[in-house]
Amino acid sequence: MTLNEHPIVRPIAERAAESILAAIDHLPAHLMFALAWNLAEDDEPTLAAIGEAAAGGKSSRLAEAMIFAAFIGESTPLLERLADDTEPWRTIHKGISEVRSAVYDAWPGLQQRHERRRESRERWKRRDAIGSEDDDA
Amino acid sequence: MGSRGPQRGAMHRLPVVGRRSSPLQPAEVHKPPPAPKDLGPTGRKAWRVVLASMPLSIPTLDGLTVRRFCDVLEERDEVMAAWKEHGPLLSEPIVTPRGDIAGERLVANPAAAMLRGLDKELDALSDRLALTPAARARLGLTMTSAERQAAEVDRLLGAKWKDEDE
Repeated sequence: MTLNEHPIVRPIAERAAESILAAIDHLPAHLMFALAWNLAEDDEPTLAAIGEAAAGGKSSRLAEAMIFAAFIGESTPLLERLADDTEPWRTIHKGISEVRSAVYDAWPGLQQRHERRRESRERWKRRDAIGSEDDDA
Repeated sequence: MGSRGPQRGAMHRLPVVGRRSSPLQPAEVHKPPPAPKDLGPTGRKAWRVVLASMPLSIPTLDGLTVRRFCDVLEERDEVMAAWKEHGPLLSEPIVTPRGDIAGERLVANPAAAMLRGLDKELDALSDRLALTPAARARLGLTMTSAERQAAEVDRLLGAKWKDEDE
């Protein structure tokens, strides 16, 4: 079974993808067009997938992109930065969050691994910052 | 994923921009004060229309300017009637020094010059009363649908990320 074929995660991701596309499709035409284009150009892979799916109408590709992003731990930093107070960002935030929860439930221990890796990265960042301050001094 | 931008051939699925109705709001209409009694039908109609729909109007202050606008409009009506009756060219007798009529020549109808002058005056008054789209735009009273859409897009895209200062 591949990552995208998980019997519980996949349907959740498909539903989340469809609700995200519906939220974008619900926007006035000029906003939908601008948002799809802007997201498709985004450096963040999950947002680029949303933009491509909004333009191409392929929710299955978006579902796969969200599962993959959650599996490799990209969803958490994205969710921390992504707005969740206005539409369609609220639905996008909720969708990515649901997929992340489903992935963590399906692969026990994955969340802890991601958290450990993030903590480790943060420590290295802090060390680098202290090191560069010393160099400046 | 890999490549950036919408998939090849996919953009035609997007709806045409501007398909929905324009978000521009209709001009606000207020009840105009009664028109001066000495105004003719054209002037009274103009008085009603202008004071009912003029943006940010204060009838007590703007009444004088609107009255001038109506007067010029009525005068234009009269001159236009004369122009229509006689046409752009008039026949003028050629009189000899002895007072005999030697023939006729065509001259421009003076009503044409009068109409141009009145139109200029009407344009200036329309501008002051914000009766033209350009005048309203100069006063910042209207926003074109393109500007409004651009502002909406900016607002939507600007709301993408959480405020990092929070």
